[in-house]
Amino acid sequence: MILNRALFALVLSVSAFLTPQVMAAELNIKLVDLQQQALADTVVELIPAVMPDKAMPVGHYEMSQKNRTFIPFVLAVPKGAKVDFPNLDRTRHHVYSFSEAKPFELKLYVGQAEAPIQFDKPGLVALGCNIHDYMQAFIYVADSPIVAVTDEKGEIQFKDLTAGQYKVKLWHPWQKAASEPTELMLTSGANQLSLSLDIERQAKPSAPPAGFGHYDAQGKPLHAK
Amino acid sequence: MLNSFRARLILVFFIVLTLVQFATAFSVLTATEKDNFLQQQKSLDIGANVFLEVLSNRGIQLSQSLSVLSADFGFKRAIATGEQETIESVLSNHGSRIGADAAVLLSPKGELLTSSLPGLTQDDIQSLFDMTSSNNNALAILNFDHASYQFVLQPVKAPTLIAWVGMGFLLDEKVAQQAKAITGIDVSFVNQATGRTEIASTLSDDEKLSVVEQANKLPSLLKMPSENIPLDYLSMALKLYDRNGSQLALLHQSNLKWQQSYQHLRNNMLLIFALTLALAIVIAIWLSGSLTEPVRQLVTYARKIGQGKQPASIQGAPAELRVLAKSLSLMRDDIEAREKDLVYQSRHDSLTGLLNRFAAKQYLADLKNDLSGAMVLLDIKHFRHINDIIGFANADTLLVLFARRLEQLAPTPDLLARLDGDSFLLLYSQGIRPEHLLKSLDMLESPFPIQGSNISLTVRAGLLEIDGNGADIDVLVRRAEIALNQACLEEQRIVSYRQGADEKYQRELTIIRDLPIGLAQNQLYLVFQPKVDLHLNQCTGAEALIRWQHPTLGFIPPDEFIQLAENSGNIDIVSQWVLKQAIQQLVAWQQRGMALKLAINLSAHDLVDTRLPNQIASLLKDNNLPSGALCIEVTEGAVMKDAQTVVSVLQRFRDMGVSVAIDDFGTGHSSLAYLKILPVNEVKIDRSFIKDMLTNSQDVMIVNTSIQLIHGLGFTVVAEGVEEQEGVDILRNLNCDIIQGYVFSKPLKAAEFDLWFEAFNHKNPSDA
Repeated sequence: MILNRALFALVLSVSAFLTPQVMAAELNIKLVDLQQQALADTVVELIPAVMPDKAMPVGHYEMSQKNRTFIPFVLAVPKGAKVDFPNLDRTRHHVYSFSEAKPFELKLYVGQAEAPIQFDKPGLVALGCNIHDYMQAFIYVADSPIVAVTDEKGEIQFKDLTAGQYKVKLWHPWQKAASEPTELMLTSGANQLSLSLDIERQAKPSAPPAGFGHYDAQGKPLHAK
Repeated sequence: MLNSFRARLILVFFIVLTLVQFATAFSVLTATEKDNFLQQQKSLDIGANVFLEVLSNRGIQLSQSLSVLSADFGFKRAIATGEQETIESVLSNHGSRIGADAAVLLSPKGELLTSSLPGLTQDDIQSLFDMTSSNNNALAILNFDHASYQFVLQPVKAPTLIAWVGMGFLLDEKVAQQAKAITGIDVSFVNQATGRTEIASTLSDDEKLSVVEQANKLPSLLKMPSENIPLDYLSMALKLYDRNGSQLALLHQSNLKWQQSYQHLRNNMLLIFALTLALAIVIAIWLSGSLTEPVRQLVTYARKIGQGKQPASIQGAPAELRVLAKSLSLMRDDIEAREKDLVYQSRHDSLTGLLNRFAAKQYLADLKNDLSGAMVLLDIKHFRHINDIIGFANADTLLVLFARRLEQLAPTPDLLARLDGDSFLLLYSQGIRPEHLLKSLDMLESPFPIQGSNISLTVRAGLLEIDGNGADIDVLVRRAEIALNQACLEEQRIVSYRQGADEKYQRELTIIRDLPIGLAQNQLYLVFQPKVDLHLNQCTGAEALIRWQHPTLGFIPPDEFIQLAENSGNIDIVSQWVLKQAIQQLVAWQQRGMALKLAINLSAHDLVDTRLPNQIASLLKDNNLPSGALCIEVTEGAVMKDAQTVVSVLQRFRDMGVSVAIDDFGTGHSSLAYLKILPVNEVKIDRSFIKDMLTNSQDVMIVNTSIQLIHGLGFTVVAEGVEEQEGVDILRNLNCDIIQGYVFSKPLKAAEFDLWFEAFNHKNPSDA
């Protein structure tokens, strides 16, 4: 765990012309693994030193099931957010979670929308489907409203941030160890941040070919010897 | 017993066959055994692989069953909720669904959460977890409470890993039986984890016990299969998962199948061996019989031949033995022929084919008492001479022809034999009349054609009438020989044996034989007869005469033994003896002052010895005797044998100064011409003329004429054998020079002569 701190390489570049009047800060984060490969599906949570008074608007979130796959793979939501679980497949899904943050079961029938589920408690919620064992997704319920997931390029852009002191928390489903939050001093204007995380790359859960087949516990097809 | 050919043959058959059979059996059985072992081992290896596959498949199967269980939503939910009661009941419930004997629940990191096995520790489970969590197909065997469990672990995902569920299945006899059903070999699971040996096995109880008893040897089976754990099984061990003790799977490949085939093979070989052996012995007996029987027959055959019989030839024997038998028969024939030949040769003269001396004697000896008739010995006169002239080869031919003629004689002799050389023996058992014998001689003497010339022979015959008194054969033959000798000596064609001739012959043989001995032993001695010179009336000389007093025959007249010595060729030793004695006597006389002339008689044989004059000269010289002291007397006959040589020898004597006298003048058939050429000094008129001079006037006239003649030739005249004084007177008147005779003295021994000489010469002193 201590080890991982060293894995953070913090590069901070401040723009040449800062206008204190504008006050707004922008943060571009680039995440790579130790092999310098862009790292998608990484949750980055910025915890400001001083929580803003005003409640941040809580957005609408979706964890859809399409082609017997949860989309997205990793979803980060601030606490209190409501998440819809639309079933886009023609098959039934039985989404469940035994996670402490939010245990629930949701039987999703084709074409029938269920009420969204609200995630009040910060924490990690592992999602599964009782019908399709290989389906797997994570909902990261953040304390802070400033939370996002890296795109395919491993990049996140936060806008309209208040300059100041932040803690940066990272989470990835494949991470080898939980990382400690890192301190970050945001200045006005554009801030660039490059971060790296030690992960064990795995295949993203995806639906096996349609039709009957035999699968192991991980949902991988068993090939005849 | 073993000496017999038959027994040896059988024994050899037996040994060879046994060796071959044993060698074959040994190699075949050894190879089979080795092959069996290899097959067994191979089978065991295959069994082991199958067994491992079985265990592995079982693991996979169990794992799959467990994965179904672990995917159960209710199960997941129970675990996720962490309700201990629920978890335990779920484990129990689901465990019994798949027939598990034990169930455990582990945290995602492998910490033991719940276990159906009371007392199971984290330690027990840790390595199992380490191994199985990364490869859930691995064969994981857990030892617990002396029992082995095959364990499978499955993750519980909801959907992330929330726990590991493990189910254990006892490796018991049931599993072993299942494995046996698939692998076809016996299986034992052995747990030695806590020092005790627990076994679950498909083996029988006894066999299990045997395995348990050899528990300490089990680890060795990991390296090398053994055939003794238990007996009649080839067993190997496989290491099951083993952390704190030995847990083994034993695989037992029964060797029953191979043992049976091995025993079957062995029994077959034994049977074959027994049969071939029996057959071989029968053949050996038959073969040896067929060999030894003819040999036995041959032995009998040979024995009969040895006994001189003519056995019937052997039938049905092998060719070699028949050849041998035939050879034996031929050998006997050869031996017989040679024996006959030898007998013939031993009995016959090889040249003429007549019987030989041995056979003839044998023949005569066989007749013995029945011997009668006449025995004739024939001799070819001068055959040696003929031999020299015509050569040996021709002489042999002559003898053969002669023998053939003998065989044609009439009357035919009953026995005809060649005794030796040219001597033949004929026996007429009915006797033979002289005229018939003469006729036979005529026939034998008729000329023989040899090499183109005719050779005539002169044949002498000695005839012996056999009186039939069983006389000794040797005596008979000798008498016939005596008669034959007589015939030769007397130049007669036939001489019959005269009674006594044999005894005379024996005496002559004795004399001839004993003469050299007598000379050496001084049985002989000289006597001396004085010679008186009428002119001087003195004894001036003497004649040495030899005498022999034989130990058994007594006195032997000198004429007899001298004659025999001359005939037998011994005369020279006599002459030499006389010469030496005479010289000694002369030396003795000289020492006494007696000047005498001593006369010795030499034979014709001595007179042809040209060395004699020199010898006598050196003798005289050596003894310091004047040569005139010795006088040599020779007879006319002696001179006439080889006049030329004798004359030259006598000439030498006279030249030396030795006197030479002609002895016995008037008795030989000499011519007066000899007197002319003989170098003599004196002539002795023979006593036969002197003896009767007193009564016979003719003798006086002859003596007178002789004296005149001798004086005329210039020689001295000696008269021998004068016995009367009147004779002396007459001879004195006739002008005889010297007288020798009894009228003065008989021959005297040396000592007596000396006395006589002293007295005579003293009484008649020489005219001064």
